[in-house]
Amino acid sequence: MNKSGVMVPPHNFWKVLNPDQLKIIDNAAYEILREVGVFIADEELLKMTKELGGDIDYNKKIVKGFPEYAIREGVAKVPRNFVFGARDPEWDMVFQGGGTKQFWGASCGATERLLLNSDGKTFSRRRADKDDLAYTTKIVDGIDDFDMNNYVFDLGKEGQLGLPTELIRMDTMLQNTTKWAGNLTTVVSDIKEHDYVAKLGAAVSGGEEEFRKRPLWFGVLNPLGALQMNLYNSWLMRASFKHHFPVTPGIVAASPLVGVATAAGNTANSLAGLLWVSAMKGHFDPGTAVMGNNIVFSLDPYTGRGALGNAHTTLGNNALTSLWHDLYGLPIASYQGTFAAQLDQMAFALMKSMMIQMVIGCDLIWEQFSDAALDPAMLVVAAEIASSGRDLMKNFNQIMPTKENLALELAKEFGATGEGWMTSDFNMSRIDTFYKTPTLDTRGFDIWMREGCQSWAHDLCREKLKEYEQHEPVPMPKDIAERMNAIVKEGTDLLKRQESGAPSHTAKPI
Amino acid sequence: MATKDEILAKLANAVVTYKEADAMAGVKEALEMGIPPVDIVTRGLSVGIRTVGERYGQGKVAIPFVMLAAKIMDKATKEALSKVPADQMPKPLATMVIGTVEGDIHDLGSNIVSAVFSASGFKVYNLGHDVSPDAFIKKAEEVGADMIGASALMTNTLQQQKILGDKLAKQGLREKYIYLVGGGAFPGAEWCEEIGADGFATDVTIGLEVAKKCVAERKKQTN
Repeated sequence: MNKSGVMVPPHNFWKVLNPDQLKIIDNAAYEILREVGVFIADEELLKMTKELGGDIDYNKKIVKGFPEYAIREGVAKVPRNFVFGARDPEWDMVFQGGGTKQFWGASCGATERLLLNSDGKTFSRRRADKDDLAYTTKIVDGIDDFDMNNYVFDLGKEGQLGLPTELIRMDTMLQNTTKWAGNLTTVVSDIKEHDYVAKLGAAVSGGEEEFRKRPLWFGVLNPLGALQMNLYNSWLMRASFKHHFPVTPGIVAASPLVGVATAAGNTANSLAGLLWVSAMKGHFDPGTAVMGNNIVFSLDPYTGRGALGNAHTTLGNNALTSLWHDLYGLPIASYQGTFAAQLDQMAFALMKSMMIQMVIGCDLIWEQFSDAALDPAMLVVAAEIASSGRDLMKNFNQIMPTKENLALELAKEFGATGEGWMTSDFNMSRIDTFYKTPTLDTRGFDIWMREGCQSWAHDLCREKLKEYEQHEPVPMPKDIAERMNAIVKEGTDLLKRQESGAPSHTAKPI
Repeated sequence: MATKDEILAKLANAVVTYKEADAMAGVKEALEMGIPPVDIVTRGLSVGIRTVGERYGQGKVAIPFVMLAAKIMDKATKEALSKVPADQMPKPLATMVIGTVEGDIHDLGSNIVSAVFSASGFKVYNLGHDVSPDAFIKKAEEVGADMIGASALMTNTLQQQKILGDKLAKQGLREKYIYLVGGGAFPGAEWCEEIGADGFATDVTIGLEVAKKCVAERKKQTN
């Protein structure tokens, strides 16, 4: 039996734009692709765009003039129905078009780990490494409210040592979870790193063909702007064509510093990027999934740091989700959350962001934490939020005004004082649909005061973390683990950057 | 007719209110009145840009306005000093070469640092993104920099900060420059110590404090 995801009511999402308004933004996106174009740093990928009818300026590395029909044809080759596989097939995520099911996960990529000092109040920090990643990967594996895994700590330490971090990171993820393994991102060591990561996938899946059917990760393309593809993202894209893994275009037109400062303008720009990437993927690797990404991004204009959950991004995410669902029939992901430093502020901002993603009908919901340094107690906060969101969707049907839900006959029977309701079969059979809030603390006020007035985020979530730490995922079969170790060793020996060596810009394409 | 102080105040105000036309007109008026060009910059325009920098540090001014003020300051300064001999040019707090390290194209942070440092009295040469260690060193030597700033966003390009530090050391230039590292890859104290950098910051306001402190210490050592 499949354990992942929660069904959603597709016609009851919050939509900020009507179909005519969506169409205007869609048209604007095609105009952007025709007249603004896309910057592509990698010449090989630049050349490939010719097949989509683009006019290439090799000096400026800009391609424009994409005909609308070519983009539409490419996007049409992207599958609506697909599976993101897990080592345990019960955790496979099955997508059937956009807006039918929601999947939850936690995401971060913090390069440092926060450690609570003995005073119980302040923190120190240290560079995160693969042991930290293994630790959080196991925790997420054991929390049923997370349908998927992803890297919570980035390999800051290994990165400093010049090691191939994507290879080591994906190995750590796969070895420590039975769920889908999340993001493969860009590499700077050498383009060959993707080949080694693909070998890991094939080893775990039981062969390349099986990996293709049930891919264990997707590649996250993170162009700086919606309309530019740097070298590393270009490599990742070409690697995805070669190894047939899905991609999610993290379209990041970061308004207002490097993007238009209105939600409509930024959404059109983001949609243009999303369409272009999807069309390329559909054309060169038909049948492999593209998970849209509803990032209509913004930066805090006062600090330059990422800003999520403001009006600009919220409205843009909403519109982009509707566009992708309603006009293209495709599912969409969302990395929403907060770049706040404090645990309690993160909890607040995350709850707000996540509830919005849920009601706009996002398919793959990532709870994104601050990427600087992370307190692992945040995982418990995120799990509680996921639990709350799933609870709403699971129980959504009770609002449908059916004869059964309205229960007028019983209302007449129990009368105005309603004394019969409490112990009625009707209510008793629905007790479980009532969410127990907050799940970590049901104590009354007096007992809470008597027992030390703990904070929810800092104390109770940290306490709960100890419980989650006990989880051990089903280990990787020994023979596969050995094969993976050999792949990682060979790849690391080849790709480790030397002390004096810069990352290889001139590495030969795959 | 406006007094000298009033003209200088007008120049500062033009920068603070981001009015390029006022700044350029003010420079023209000041020169016509015979106000020394160095005073136009140090007692007029610089007062304005320092105010913008301070307001930014207090979270009262957004980055685009700092960028705009720095641009106006730069243009008006060039105009004011266009006929001043090189040896009479006002001295910056320090001269800095900054860029995002090789392999990393995320230059928003280094652009912000560049603007804020310029607004705070530094002479900044911003090399942009994907800058090789050799390019950092070449530019620093060329302009006689006091300071090199290397930014990295990605953890796997952070190593470039070490490579640059090592290259400076190998070429016997390490002590010549104040070497600062920063960026979204969050270099910490441990990393800073490991690669032998003089300071680090992941936030431009803190970065400015660190840079000023390093400059003051260097001056103390050389005096």
